Amino acid sequence: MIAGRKFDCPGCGGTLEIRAAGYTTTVACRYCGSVIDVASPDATLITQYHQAVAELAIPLGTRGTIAGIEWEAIGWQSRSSAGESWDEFLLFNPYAGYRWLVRADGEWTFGRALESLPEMLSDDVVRWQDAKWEVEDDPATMVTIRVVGEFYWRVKVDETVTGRTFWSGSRQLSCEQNRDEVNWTALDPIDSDGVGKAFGINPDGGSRPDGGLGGGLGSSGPPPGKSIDHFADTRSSPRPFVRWTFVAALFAAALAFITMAAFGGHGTPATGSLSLGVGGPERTVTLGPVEVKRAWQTVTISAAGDEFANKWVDLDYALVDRRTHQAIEAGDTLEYYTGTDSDGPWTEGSHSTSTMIARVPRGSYDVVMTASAHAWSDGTAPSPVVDDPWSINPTGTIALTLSAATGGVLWGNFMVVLVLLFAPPCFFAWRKMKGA
Amino acid sequence: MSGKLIAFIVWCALVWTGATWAAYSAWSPFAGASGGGGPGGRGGGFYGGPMHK
Amino acid sequence: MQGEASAEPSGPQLACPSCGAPVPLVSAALPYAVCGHCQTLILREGDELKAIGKSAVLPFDVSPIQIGTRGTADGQRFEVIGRVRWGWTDGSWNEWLLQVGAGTAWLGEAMGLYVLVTEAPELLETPLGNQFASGTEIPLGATLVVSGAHFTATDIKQAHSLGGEGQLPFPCPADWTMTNVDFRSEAGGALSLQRDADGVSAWLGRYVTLDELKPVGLRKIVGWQVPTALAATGIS
Repeated sequence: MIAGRKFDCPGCGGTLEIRAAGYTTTVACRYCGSVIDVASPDATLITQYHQAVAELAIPLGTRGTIAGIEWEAIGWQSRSSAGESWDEFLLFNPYAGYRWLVRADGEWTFGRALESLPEMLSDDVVRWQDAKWEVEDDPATMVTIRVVGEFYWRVKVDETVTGRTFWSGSRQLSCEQNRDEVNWTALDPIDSDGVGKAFGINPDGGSRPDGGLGGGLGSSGPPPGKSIDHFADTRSSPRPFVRWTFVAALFAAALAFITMAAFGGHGTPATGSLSLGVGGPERTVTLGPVEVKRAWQTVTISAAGDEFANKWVDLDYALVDRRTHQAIEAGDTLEYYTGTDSDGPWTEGSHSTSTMIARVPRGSYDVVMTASAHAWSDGTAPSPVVDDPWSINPTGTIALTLSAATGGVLWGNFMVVLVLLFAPPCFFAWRKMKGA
Repeated sequence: MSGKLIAFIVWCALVWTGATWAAYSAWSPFAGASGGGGPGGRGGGFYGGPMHK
Repeated sequence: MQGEASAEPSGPQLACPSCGAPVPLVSAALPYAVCGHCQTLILREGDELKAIGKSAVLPFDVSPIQIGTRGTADGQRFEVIGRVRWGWTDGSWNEWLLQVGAGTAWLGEAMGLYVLVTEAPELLETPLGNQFASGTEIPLGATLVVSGAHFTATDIKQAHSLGGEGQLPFPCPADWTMTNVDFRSEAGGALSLQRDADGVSAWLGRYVTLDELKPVGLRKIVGWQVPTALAATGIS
């Protein structure tokens, strides 16, 4: 064991300080990254590296107060599993031992090693402190990518362990296992602003340019610590990754809505009207012009009737290019029914309708509309309808108001967008729930 | 930020790009129109009357 | 550094035969002591103190415990009267000897965690204890059931003594080596089996936190405040 508090890195000669003398067995040099054995009387080099100084969210040597106890960040390791990496800060207080601050996916957790072994209820469920903890995923291989600072065990770059995470609400139990040992750690969510305030740093962003690694340490002492008094709500937060995918999907959906609405803005409408005899002959009116100014646009054609009931209007539209006389045909039905049955009164349909024609090429168009009105009887009332609809005009006329304009939002497209955006987050959430 | 999350954000960007292109060029995968249904309203066999029973 | 804030041990003191510094004697049952001033290893025979060698200077550490620290465990007052420091290939740990009433207990301190154990010779009568005593190694994960609690072997180390201080039941020579097997239970219980050249011993107890010991006379560590949870009883 190194006798003093300070020694020179055998890799680069830089002066290093041991903060947890007596506990620390391995130091990763903050200047060159070399890993040094300090458990033996001489500082001996285990692995030499020549790394750039790491920039850390919490510069080592920084102190902060969490739940009434002041902690000093003395070690940092970056680890990864299946392409995702995260930061683990080792905190030390000589009177209180060690804790962890872990940052994964932008979320912080505060961890401590367990003294008692959780009881295995099954392969996937353990009991600890009267709570049941359920495993989330299959065991994952985690590898240590980088280390800086001092550690109470033999830290090694490229060291792999097999890890599993058990959940109870938003609290986690992490179980890491290698050939020689099994380590359990309890992790509680902690508010990231609180971490930032406690350690006087920006917890989300990067870090101070000098990496802060020991900047000024030993000269003026640690920076004044501030305090975190509250932990994040331990029930509300789901798994960070799933939550962020929902956030991203929501954001993209909102953006898609805005752009679709912007491109679907209506042009100047062409309007017209028709008076239709119910059961009478079909009538035709021409509206125009409708100017399609972009290479392709949608055209929305709307029809509204005055008050009527138990009638329908067949609408046939032809969008005729004034120059080429090419026609695009579409149709719609305006219908409104009402009646009374065993469940009471009911209505169906509406007094207005609209239809949208997609992908209309640039041009100036007339809209030729042909409409015919028909009556319907539910059979309970004396039926005015006869087999020959041309014979009589039993129930008067319907006054139609018609309009046609470019634009209109293709809602079917928007539904497809919603499905494409939200299916993956829902799938991830389902998989987590199933895995738990 | 994790690789998986970045991949998902890229996916969101692709979907948004597709939606924007479709909106700009007035394209829809649904038979020519949306809203009040295609040509012929409910379909060729429509005779009129409510669906209500 | 270490002696700068020593709590005053209670009880009688004798003079070191080598340097004359006062050597506290709390327990009449303990034959050995290490002079805190000159590291002379002292054997006590009746009222006579004999210098029998030198103990290594303990390496600097930031343990909050020191000789003279007092506290309460399981309702009984204790006082820290000695320490052995053990080293192994990947680190080291402290074992603090506690005077508890007329007997003793050990407070193990490793990686910021504390284990309070007393000797439990009956554990050596178990098959696993017999196996260990006969020199057979115990595999990681081996279990031992003690009054219904399952203990699992979680840690096996070959350790060597790095030196001692205060009063001790053994002379703590520098070439002293032992095998130490630590077990843990689901309820926070701790069990250790130790084997050296002279035989085996078994220790049973539990993990404790520093604050539950209500310590008085903790060591002052430069640059650190005693946390409020401990400060209520805190440094005397």
